[in-house]
Amino acid sequence: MTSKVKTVNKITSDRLLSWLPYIVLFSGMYIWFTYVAGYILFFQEKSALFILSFDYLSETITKPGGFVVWLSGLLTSFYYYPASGAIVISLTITIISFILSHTLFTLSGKNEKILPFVTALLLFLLHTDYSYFLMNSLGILLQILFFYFVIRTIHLMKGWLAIIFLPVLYFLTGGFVWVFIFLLILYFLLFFKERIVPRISSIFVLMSLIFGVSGSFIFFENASKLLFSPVIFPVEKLSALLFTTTSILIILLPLIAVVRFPVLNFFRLTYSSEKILRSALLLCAVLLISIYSFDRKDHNYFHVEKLFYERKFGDIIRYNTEHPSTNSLTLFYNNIALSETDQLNDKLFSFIQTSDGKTLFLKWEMVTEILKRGGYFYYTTGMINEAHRWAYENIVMSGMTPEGIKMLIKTEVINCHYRMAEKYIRILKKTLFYKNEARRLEKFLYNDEAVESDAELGSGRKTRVKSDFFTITDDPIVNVERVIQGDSLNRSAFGYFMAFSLLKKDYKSLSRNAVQYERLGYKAFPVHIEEALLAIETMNNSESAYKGCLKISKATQDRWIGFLTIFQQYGNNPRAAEPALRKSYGNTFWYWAFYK
Amino acid sequence: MKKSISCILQVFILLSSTGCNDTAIDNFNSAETSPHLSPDYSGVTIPYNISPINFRIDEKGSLYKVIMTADEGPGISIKSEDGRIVIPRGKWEDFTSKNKGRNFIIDVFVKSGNKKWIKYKPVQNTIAAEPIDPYLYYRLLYPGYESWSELSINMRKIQGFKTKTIIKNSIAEENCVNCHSFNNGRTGDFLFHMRGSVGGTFFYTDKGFRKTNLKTKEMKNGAVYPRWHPSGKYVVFSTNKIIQQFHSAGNKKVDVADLESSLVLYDVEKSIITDINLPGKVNSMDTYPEWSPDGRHLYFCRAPQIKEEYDYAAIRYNLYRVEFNPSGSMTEEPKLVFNADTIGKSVSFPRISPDGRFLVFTIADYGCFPIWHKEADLWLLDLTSMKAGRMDLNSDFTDSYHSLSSNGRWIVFSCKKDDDLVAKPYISYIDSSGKSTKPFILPQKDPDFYNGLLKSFNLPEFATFEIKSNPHIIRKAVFSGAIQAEWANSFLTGNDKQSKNSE
Repeated sequence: MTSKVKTVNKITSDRLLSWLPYIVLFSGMYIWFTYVAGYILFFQEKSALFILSFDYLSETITKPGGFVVWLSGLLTSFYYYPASGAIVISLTITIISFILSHTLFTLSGKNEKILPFVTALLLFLLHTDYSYFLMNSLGILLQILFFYFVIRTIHLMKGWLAIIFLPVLYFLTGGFVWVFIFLLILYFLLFFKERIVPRISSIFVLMSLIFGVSGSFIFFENASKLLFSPVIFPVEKLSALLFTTTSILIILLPLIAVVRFPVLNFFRLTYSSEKILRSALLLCAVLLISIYSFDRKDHNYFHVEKLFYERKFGDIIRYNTEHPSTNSLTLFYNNIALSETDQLNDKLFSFIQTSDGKTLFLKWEMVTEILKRGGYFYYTTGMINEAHRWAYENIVMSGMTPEGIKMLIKTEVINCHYRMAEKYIRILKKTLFYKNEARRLEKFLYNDEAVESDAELGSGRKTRVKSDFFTITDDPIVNVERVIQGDSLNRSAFGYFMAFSLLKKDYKSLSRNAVQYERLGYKAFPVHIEEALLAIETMNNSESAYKGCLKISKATQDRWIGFLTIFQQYGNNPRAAEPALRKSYGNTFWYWAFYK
Repeated sequence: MKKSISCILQVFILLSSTGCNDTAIDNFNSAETSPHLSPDYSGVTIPYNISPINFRIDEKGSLYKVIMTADEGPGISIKSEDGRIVIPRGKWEDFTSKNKGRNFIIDVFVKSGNKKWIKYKPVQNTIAAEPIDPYLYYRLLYPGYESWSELSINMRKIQGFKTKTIIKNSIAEENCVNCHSFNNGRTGDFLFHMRGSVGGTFFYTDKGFRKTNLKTKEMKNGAVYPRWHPSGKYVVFSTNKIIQQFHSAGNKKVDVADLESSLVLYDVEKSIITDINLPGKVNSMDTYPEWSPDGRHLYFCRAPQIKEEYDYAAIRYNLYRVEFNPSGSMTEEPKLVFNADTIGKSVSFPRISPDGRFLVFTIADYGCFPIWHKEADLWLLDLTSMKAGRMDLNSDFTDSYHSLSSNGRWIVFSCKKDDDLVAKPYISYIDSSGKSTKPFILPQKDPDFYNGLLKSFNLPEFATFEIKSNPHIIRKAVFSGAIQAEWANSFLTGNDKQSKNSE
């Protein structure tokens, strides 16, 4: 009885131990994606909008590889929550490793784990690159899954079944099918003794037929699309190399199954110690990859973008104050946050700026990353039509994204185009995780009162440009000028105009337009405007550039004296005074005017 | 318990009933209102050879029944649980072909739970005796600004729902495809332009597509809007320098204008292109040509040539015509056919009915690109009395680009009345006096098709023939060498040819 119990316990513990490396692998990746690298999930989830509808399904899967695209879209939408997104990635990689291991066992009878885990680690490394999408891993997973199924059922039609199913597999997975084809060819070469040539030639004939027929009569796509779509080759050189290496490693699976690696037999370990050692090594590898791959800059940038989408402008400013950034897009978001909180000309120089205005606004470019974001500047300055255009053009070029469609809805609602807004809301309602947002926005349809009383939409409607002009997308500041010509009470546009004047050190403009602050209802000048006016006054031999009622604060006057004192202490030598001035006055217009 | 039994009974009744059920409903309450149908197929005149007019009943209920009746043959009866009425094609064709030239009635019954059926006021429609052209060609694209990704020119068989892609830009380096043009059912002529890296003008021939480069060094601007001469020998093109601008405020998002435009004539057989030397062309912008059905007159829109500084909202085109001289040299002074400027309007897209009786054009407040003008309407000019007026088919939104069927009885046009952005193909019947009926949208298999549609049906064109082609055939033409058109001072004086470049 006791020995029976012992045997059962042994079996249970062996089974548990056999799972241990997978558990370690899964848990390591899960923790990393959930708690450390949520920014990768955030970026990818925001890159496309998955619509859960029959129309979307039929539209997507009617192209070669459409099934992988659809499945990948569905699973990527779970990235909305870091925990569920982490499960999706970690599980995909772990399953790949698991299937590879079982495939090797089926092929060679060896319980070989090195290749499966090396592949898993390579895939993990790939997934730490935010531009590497789930689709590639999913495409590979489906190929090895089908290959495993083929070798398990090889007795049925001796490999012919796999060849017959090639068109179906191609239709479902597109260009990923090459992984399966090479696996199959290698398998025939190494594991079949007869009729290898007919089988292999059948594969080539069939594939040529598939491409010929589908290219000419069914899908009407060009050769490169037919051959490789929807595989996305990573842009980063390292990721591209890793992706190629991983694919080759997987393709060589049948060869690895027949080759004996002497080094593997070098260590003679017990079953349990081998499993524990393997798990420990895996854990170390996962940890190393996690440390090596974490990108602080990407993390910070996407964190700011997340806060921006949530319209947490105060948090953005705080975060950027604590984590100063040189990224121009981060600074672009930060300046919008400053503008939204009416601090643009108080804190502009507390952050890095460029004199060409690139941190204030983005110039029109048919590039997704620019199109996706550039419209927010127009949205905040009341140029609702222009904000709409940027969002719309991005959707035409790159497809729907959650934030893109939200921008379309908001701009249509602000512009009282309720019927189109309703159409977009209907689409948003068909998503998995944006239903609530759609319902929230739906309440504004055909309800001007609700729109006007909403903080964001109401302000948008109030400040939207009413006096029409043709936009000049190559020169955003001209648009701002035209906005304030037509609506002199648009605070945000005026704020941007003055910020640009500060960046350009346009003293004439600053002197001439300072009076506008009174008209806009300001009780005091923004700090940088005070600084500019004091500097102008000094340049004009104490003659004030501003003749209105607003007073320059005592604090700014004292700081100006302080600034000049330091300057004089260094013998009026700008170079010598620079370190001291940077330390005390680096966040002032004076420092910018002197040194930038 | 009672509820469950009632539910089971209802399910049983539904399961035992077929899609078409002729059982009459005797016990009902009558409503004083007409039912809301989406799309709106009430009070319309349809051709007998059109696909079933599937629709959704936009009334609250749990069970719906529709009975269609007319003078001849059995009616059609359809039950639905969700309000979607999908009419079996066979029964529909039988129904419409037996009732040509007659009225038909749609009775709509709606039932909510255990309540009595409600019968709405009958919907009255008419089946015209005249057929519609069998094909509709259109470009499907996002009604956006300046960028495009997926573009295609599609063909829809009007009697059924079959749609075929004729051209799609993914096979041609994502170039833009546009301006597909037929010869109004007179010949099998067809052409389209492709703009971009592998661009050219593609003429449909018996052997497939012939790629031609129409732009010669003598031409200041490229050939844009085409119209086939009824003989099929010539095509007149406008050559335009176009700019696109974006409004910062208001409903109008985009404005497209010509900075320059003139007309050129292309001899299809000889591949010779020549300037149409219209008197006054130097100080004018001539565009949107159209032929009279006998080919003896050329109609076009003309506005004074704009200067460097101009007010885009003051550019107004009038309609002119000139006698056609195949030499290309037309010295006769163009005659003013319709003066839109005097009523503060601008003319575009003149299209003449095959019998030469009517001319339909789009009218807008200014300019020559009315698809972005909410106020754009279709007007009909009686060429015998020269009286023009707004057609009844217009909506409060953009009603623009139109095409007349080969028998002149049907008109299809781009209408944005549903959402003010997406142009959809609406069809209307025009009687012998030029009066149009309430337009109806091109039927679709799925009654909800248009609700989620984000792309426009751009340039809907009727045609009497099917283009035997597909994107693969076009791809071959796209990547083949183009025939270079030759410039000549006139067609008659062949010696005047100035360039003979060919690839």
